Amino acid sequence: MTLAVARVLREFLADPWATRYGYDLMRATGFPSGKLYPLLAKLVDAGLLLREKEQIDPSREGRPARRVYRLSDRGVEIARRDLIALSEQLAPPAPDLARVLPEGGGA
Amino acid sequence: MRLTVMTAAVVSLAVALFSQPITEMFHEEIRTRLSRLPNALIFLIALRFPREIRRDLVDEWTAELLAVVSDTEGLPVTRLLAGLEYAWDLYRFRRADARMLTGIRRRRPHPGGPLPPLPDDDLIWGAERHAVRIKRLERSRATLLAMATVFVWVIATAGGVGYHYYLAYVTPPNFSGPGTGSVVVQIKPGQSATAVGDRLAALGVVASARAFSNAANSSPEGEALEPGT
Repeated sequence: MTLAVARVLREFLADPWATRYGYDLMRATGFPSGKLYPLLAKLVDAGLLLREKEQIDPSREGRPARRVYRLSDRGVEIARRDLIALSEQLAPPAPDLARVLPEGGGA
Repeated sequence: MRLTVMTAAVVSLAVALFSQPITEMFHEEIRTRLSRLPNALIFLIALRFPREIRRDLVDEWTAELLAVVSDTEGLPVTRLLAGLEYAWDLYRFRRADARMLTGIRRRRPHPGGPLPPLPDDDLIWGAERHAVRIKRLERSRATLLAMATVFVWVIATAGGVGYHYYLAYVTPPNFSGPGTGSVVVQIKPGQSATAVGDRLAALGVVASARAFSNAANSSPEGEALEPGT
């Protein structure tokens, strides 16, 4: 899992059952459209995300139906597990106290 | 003279009256066209994808574009830039991405397969597009047939020519009959039948070197061709 994918999944995990729009995710992750959509495509293809047509009446709302994305049940599970694994991998090592503190500097 | 002055006056009045509205009309036209530039860009980018995927993508991106520019009412330049930024970057979206996103795989009918049925989802243009697709398919089928024919022809010709040369090599021209006269040929120790054949051919005893080595191989003494003269 690349960091960019992790960033997107993290955004979804904030509220695992919410549906998100593409532009909404662009703003939340700071990714431009050409970066975000390929990531969404990979996640949809892997079965982690579901892509659906928004359930609205375009003539009443006065706008076309957008596409919404949400985590699948499997997606919630995998995203949580992989993000935990990734954050453990990327956690900085515990500082070496003997090197940080000068010799006999413990007062 | 008075008529010319009158005409000039009328023309200048008309220009004064209409120039501004006409200019404004042009401005409005340009403004509207510019504001539609992101949509045009989205459509252009979507042209790279197969038609069955294209409609879905254009739907999604156009709807998102509205959201992108939704909070820029009254800021035409910001609106245009935001829209262009969104639309332009979609250029990085690849065909493989499109297939993964929509789950639609390429359905290109094989030229050898059955002709596709008439689609019923597109009532107005469906039949016309279908006719075009059938024509294209038939053309590719004809191309395939032509290529297969040419291929078979080339293989057959190459085989025929090759067989001709092969025959000439294996059973070369030879003189018939026992022959007359005598020639003294020295065969050196270790010289092969082919080498002897070459020498004999040069002297005109046999018609070709290959004929001699064939004769040597087929005669029982061929193995025992002894050095000497």
